[in-house]
Amino acid sequence: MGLKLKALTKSPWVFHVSAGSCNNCDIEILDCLCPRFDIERFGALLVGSVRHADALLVTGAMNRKSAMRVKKLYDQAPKPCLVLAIGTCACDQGIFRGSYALTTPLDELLPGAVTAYVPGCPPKPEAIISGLVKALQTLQDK
Amino acid sequence: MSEKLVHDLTARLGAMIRELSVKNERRVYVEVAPDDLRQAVRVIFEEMGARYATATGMQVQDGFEVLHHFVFDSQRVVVSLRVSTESEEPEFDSITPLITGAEFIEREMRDLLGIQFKGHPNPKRLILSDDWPDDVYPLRRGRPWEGKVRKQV
Amino acid sequence: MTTIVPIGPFHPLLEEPELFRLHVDGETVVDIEVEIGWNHRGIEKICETKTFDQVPFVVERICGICSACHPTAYVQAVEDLADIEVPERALYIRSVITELERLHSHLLWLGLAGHFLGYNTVFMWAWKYREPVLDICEELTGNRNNYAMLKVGGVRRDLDESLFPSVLERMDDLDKHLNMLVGAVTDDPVLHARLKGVGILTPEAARAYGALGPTVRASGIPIDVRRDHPYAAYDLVDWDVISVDSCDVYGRAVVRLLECLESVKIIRRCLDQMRPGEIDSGVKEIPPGEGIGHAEAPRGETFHYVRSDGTNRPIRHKARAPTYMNLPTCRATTVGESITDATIILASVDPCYSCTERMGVYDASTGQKALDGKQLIKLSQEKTRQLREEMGE
Ligand code: SF4
Repeated sequence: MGLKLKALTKSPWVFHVSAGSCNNCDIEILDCLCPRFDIERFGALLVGSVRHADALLVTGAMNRKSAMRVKKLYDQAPKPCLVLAIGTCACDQGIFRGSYALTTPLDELLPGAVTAYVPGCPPKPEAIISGLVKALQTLQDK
Repeated sequence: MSEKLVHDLTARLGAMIRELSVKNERRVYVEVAPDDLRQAVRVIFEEMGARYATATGMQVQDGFEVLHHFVFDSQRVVVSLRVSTESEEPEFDSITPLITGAEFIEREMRDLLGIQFKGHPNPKRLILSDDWPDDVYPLRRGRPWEGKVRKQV
Repeated sequence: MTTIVPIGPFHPLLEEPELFRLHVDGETVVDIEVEIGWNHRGIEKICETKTFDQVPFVVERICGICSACHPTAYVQAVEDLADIEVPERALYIRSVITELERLHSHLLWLGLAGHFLGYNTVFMWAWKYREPVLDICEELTGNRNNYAMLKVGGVRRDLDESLFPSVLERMDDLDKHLNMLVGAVTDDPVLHARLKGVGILTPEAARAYGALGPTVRASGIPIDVRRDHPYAAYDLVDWDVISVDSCDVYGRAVVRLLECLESVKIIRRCLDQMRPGEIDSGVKEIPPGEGIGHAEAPRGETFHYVRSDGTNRPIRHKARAPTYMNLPTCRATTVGESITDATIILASVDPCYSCTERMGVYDASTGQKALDGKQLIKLSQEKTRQLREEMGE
């Protein structure tokens, strides 16, 4: 593992993208930052620009209007970039599957890019943290 | 609760009423002709002081229907004002010039059901994405978008 | 020269997040446009393909933070349609769940408002006190949000009475913390300077826009569906509608805070008065007809309309969330205000955080990004800091 990767696993900066979610997943992500779960103890920091991000936390069922932005955001992120599908919506569109307002699911939108799926509606903050930790482990093997 | 209000409504709307049904104590449905819509809304919203809740548009057996829901908070009654048309290209008077709060919902009905509103100050697309075809209205019967909407990826 | 400031687009409170375009002249906002649709999922169409019993699961996913209010409004619409009586215990349970939700929602708002103003301590505290409420939700219903408790004709699960003492104990704790927060907000001169007289929504404008919930109750119009059109157990317990007439952002914050105290009161009384009994009236069939249901969500009235043709699925289901009406009021509240206040004014109708986190300022002449969301929040935080220094804190 190179120095760059090592630094990344020590302090992954995350960027949060919401694309057609019910916002419960988004709130649980924010909850991870707050005193009880405190994701910052893993060095993770929520950043305001995708150009600083090491990991994208994507929520939502991929609405037609916002899905293209997710793709654009991913293209702008420096690589390697972990992509975590947070919530059943992001994993497989869940209850909204088949709706006219949705487009392709996340893993078809960004083929091969999704590192971890965190199912749950919404996933508990513990599950989100465990997803992030597991995603980081995949880098360690490289 | 609703008797006094129904009395008041019949007195003020008078000949405009096509049909008035009292579903129960708290719910009243009034149907008026599309041409009388603005006048009826003026009476209910301005003279009687109701609060505008929202509108429901729908495609029915023959044609289209729009229900404007008004809430009388002090009397505990919801009055729904119904207008309908049998046309395949539905068009009603816009009530946004009277009630600012109706702007969004009328634009939404235009997007999703293809109902036009005459005199709307800002008839722009509201919630569908920009690449959605203009003549496909998802809330109409069946799945009208099938085969007509381009995949994005 | 006017500069256009887009704010958004993501705002996940209702089906639709939105994009604000602020037109700014120097420091002053001169016009604002709203664009929504970024989160539209076609829920009304999905509901037409589900049975009456499945729809509550869909509507509770309209908005994660109103996941008890939307189903409440929906089941009330169906109960109105089919004239269904709901057992008393179920009514109490509905009230308890919706009030727990109001508590955690208002605390969430308070935290974010604190963050936008540069009071990160408030953010962390409010979210810390929010956790026990979520714990209670998890213990009582099985999930932190999306409770799946509501059902046409009653509720899906009973509450476990052995948990009540510990719930009540935590309510006492919360009461203490809330009182401390109320004191902290009402005594802070910097907050007064920052929030008072900012983002004025006159009662006339509130009525024209059809504003709802804390937004309108802070403009001196005391409407509350819980009292005006009693549902669940709200007419069986004693509580007060909170309303102030300052019409500004400060008023909206105070209304929300005091409402939390009322919610604690309602939960205590409900748990106290609840008697064992049936929780479901066993609905078999839904006749043809139409029904309307509304409920007071943390942000205002949610309104649902359902029509049935006698089959097991609704043929039309319309849902309207409160922010749908509250959001357009931004035209009345932000125009004429300074850009540093725009963040907190837009946040004061509680349209959730996501949009404000993705703000950006664009220069109209070059189309270049001049400021981004973080910088806007910084501007707002900076103003608070300066005020603090001036006041010699
Ligand atoms: S997975 Fe569930 S909680 Fe998360 S955005 Fe989707 S519907 Fe909401």
